[in-house]
Amino acid sequence: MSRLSSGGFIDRSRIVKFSFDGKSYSGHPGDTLASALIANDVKLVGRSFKYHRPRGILTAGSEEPNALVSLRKGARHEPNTRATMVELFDGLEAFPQNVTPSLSFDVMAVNQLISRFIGAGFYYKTFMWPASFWEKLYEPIVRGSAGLGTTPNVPDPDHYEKASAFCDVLVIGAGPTGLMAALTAARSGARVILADEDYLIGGRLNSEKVTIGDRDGAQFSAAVAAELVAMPNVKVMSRTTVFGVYDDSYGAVERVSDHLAVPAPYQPRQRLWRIAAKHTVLAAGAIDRPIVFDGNDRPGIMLAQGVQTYINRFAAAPARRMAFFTSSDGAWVAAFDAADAGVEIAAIVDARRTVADRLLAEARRRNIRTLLGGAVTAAHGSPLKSVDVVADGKRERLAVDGLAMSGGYSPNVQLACHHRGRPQWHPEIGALLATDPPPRMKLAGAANGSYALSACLADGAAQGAEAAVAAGFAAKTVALPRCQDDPVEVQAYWHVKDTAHFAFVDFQTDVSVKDIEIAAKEGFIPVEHLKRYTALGMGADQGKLSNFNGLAIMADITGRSIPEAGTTIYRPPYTPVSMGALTGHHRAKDFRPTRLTPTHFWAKRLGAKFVETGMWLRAQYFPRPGDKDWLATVQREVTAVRSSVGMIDVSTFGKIDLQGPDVGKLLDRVYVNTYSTLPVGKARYGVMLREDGMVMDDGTTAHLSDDHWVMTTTTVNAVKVFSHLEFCLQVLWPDLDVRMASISEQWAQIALAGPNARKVLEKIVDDPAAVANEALPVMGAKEAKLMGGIAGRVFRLSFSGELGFEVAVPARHGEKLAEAMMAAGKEFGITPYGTEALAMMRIEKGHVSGPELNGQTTVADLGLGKMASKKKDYIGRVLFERPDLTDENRLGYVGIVPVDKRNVLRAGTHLMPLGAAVAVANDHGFVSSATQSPTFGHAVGVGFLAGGAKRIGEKMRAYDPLRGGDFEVEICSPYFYDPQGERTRV
Amino acid sequence: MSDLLASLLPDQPLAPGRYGADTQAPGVKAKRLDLALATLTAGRGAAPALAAALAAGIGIALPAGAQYVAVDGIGFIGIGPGRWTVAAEGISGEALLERLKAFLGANGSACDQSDGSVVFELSGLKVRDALAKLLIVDIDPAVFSAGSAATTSAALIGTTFWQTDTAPTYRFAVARSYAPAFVRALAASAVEYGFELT
Repeated sequence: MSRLSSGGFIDRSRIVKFSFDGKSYSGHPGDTLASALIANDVKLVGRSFKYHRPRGILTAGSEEPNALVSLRKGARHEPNTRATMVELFDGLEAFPQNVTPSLSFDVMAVNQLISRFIGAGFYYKTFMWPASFWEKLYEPIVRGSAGLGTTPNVPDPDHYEKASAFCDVLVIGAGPTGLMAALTAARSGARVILADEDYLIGGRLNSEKVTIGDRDGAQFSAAVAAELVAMPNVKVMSRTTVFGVYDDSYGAVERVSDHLAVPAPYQPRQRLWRIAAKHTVLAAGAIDRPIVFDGNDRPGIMLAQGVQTYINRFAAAPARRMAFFTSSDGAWVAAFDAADAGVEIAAIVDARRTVADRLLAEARRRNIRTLLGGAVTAAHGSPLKSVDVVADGKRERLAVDGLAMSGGYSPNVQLACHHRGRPQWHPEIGALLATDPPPRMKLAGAANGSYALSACLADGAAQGAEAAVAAGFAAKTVALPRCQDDPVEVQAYWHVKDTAHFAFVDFQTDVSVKDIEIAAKEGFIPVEHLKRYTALGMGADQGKLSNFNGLAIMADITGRSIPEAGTTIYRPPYTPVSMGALTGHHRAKDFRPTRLTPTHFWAKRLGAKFVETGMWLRAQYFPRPGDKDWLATVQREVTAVRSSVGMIDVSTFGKIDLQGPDVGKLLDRVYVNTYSTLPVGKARYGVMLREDGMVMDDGTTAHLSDDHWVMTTTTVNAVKVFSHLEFCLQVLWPDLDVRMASISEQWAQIALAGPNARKVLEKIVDDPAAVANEALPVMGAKEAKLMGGIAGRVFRLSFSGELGFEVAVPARHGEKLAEAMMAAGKEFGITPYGTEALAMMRIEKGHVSGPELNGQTTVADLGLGKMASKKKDYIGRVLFERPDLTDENRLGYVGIVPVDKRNVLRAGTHLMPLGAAVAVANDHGFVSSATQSPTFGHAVGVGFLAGGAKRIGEKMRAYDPLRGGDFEVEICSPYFYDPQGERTRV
Repeated sequence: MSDLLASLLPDQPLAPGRYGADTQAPGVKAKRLDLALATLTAGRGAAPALAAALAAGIGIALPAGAQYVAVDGIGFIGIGPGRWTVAAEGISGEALLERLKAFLGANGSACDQSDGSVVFELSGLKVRDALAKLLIVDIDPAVFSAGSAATTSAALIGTTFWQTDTAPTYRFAVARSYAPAFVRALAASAVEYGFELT
């Protein structure tokens, strides 16, 4: 066991059992999976992506590129989890990834032997030819080797949520800087959100041995956190990663239950937050940079900050005998902490020739050997057994089972780049800093290149105060506590030159120095090209550890400075976000809300089958015992309507109430036909165009009284037409006085159709004479009392081709109206019908609907050209008169019937000349809607054919390769049923 | 089962009752109200005249923005320039429309919406926490208090809502066809605090 006998923020009184790679281990509450593995002497944790090289744990944070594991089994199985971020829980099962067949023996490690041939650009060069190999051979190979881990193939049993939060000051990162920023802003009265990805507030204060005032770092952070939590204007969000900066909001994910085997009752697994902040302080800290040398990926090699964290926070020693390889002061302090914890330190190798006397003295006090101006040139063993060291021309091999490295710090500027601000090179600290952060974001502390603790506290307090003042609060001064003030000297150091083949730059994508050399040689020199050619920084860690080293090495190779080589940029997300969190409750049937019609439950009681039309659930058909299948049901419904009477809920149509003196003018301008002359008590069918001349929507608009009209739209365009009219009134014609309100939801509307429709209607309206043929002629519209005093509206409209009425009542009476119609129609065998029968009858009748109003058809294409007024202007008129849209050979509206009446015609079928070969050049048109008409006893269809109506009578080939149709059809008029409309006038 | 929705079909309305966490008092309470509703729209350039007529007629100062003002049981909620939702208790939709029309003249139009929207009254100690999951509107008492209103979307469902007191109590008007979906989204967001539907 490598667990230290004392120290750390773990609860030694409790044992947590877990397993990794099938073996059982134990840890303590407070451990991460990574710290518990280290405490159990597990060094080998995974295999690398491309070469399947053995890998261990590199870091103690969210930047971890190596220790990617799968968690849990079954439906909660979760791949690609960073062991460094997994809180240990009892019963946790973790598995290594990318191992074939096992972690300790991986046959794919053979890739290392052929690594010289599968370097950067291998895929591009190899899988190009012959082209015929792609689908059968190459793609399966590439797909097989792509990705890490596997996804479960059963639904996630947990639920996820989305939420929003608002604040004056958002502080990202709860280390010393963030705590001071939050405290200062909060004491000034600002609403503060403090978010940190860790479950323990304090950041590096939990990893480093520091004193602040009269307390140690962890006590200080606990005290500040307690004060913040107690303040009503502060929300402290631990386990919350702010992952993206968007327009006026931040994206964050809160891992509510990831640290539990199963979420507590009614708790989500994760919660996605949209945070709107007036001002933001980014205090995300800085992370150690790896150094590139031969074998730098071997298990046992770790970043110095990680070593320090495991020793101080988790009381777990990553090795028994360690060397430190660095160019910054921080790693020296980490070495001292390791030595103090009982780890034998073989040497501190520093690339710098001089370091502060204070550090040398501390090393001497602990009898630690120091090698200045030195380097580690190679590492051996898996896990690590020794390292080769060179200093002052002398080479030697040190037997160690651990190596800590730090080539300087990379400030965590990622979020500051999300608005395309490119980080800039600052040679004085050897790092890239954000100089162009998103609006109202300031960086503070180590994230801004200030590494000394005193500087972090001061910077945090200053930025917190500034943010509060900017948000309109009077800043209260917060006394800065005394603390260590040692400067932290850093020299950027990234590459031990002349190292052999396996000197890794990007651990997660297995990019080595060699790959960068290949990219340079082949001309992929600009940093964005380098990235795409080699996959540098394209792992899930987005190059947090690798991008800088990659571009710096490219700069070296091409003899340029880092600014000349260019810097990469970061995009959201900062760390990977699960799809579940992005989806929230909106999954499966809750993908979008479901809308129910006023007669939904009535239809359900009658056994209706429902269909989703947009968000609506509409009755599709009403099966009865004895119906052979759905088609038989629908045909029965159609026959009932044509021979007696049927009814259908049409409440889903958009309904717009229009009042005011200028409604007529508005309608004349938005419809192709004229409305201003329509008398009160009448409705008219109209077609609206888009500005480009294509048909947007159709429907009827009725004139109820002098200044009062009601428009109907198709179901699908209800919102679109409303907003179109809003645009017209607010932007195009602000002079028109029209008062508009959506009444789609206010009115339940049921269509009554068939020769006996009036006989049924007469029993529902309070005054039967009001609906007589003369009193309510075709296209008549009137307000009427129904069912004993309910104020409703009756329109004489027909979509079925039969005598028809649409009856509207306030929606709460919708069911009552349906039941009244059923009772009144019982003697006539009234039949409720659904959207299928509606569609069947409209095709028989030749009415256009959704498949014809497809955004590519003009009013002339639809055979409605005569409706378009020549006497007035209207939206779409100018572009509708374009030569191409008036070409007589455009696809025009026709009817189609099979010559052999046994054939089934289907929408989507292509129309070609008889005997023509199957070729795009011979494609003359298509069937847009078709049905098995019970009225005619055979299939009828409508569609579009080049030349349109002038080709009526022609025989054509109907070709439907998708469903195996190929037969002869005759082109005819689309108005199959009662073309003169006599049945509606009776 | 922590996901209430998984066991409830979208066209199966949530029955009144207690759901979710077994808290002493429900953290979130929702009650379906039966209010008379109307939309009121000023004619072009006639908003001042309409406001004056209503001020004289029923003593109300029509809100100029997204606010809620009530007098004698009739509340006016600003939903856009020259547009208001009117919500009244203890009166029928037809009667409300008649009452409004008496003051309109040529200055505006009104339209009955009593069947078009359903109003839910939401309250409880955790109502703000639950609403944070439905709304992208800041309802912190520092910026949103009694008399505040907003027209927005809640879990993809269009709504106008207003705060009636500092308890806090909110009223949400949602289109009738969406009412079951709204309750569904609300319940899913509120069950962790204990949810009661009446």
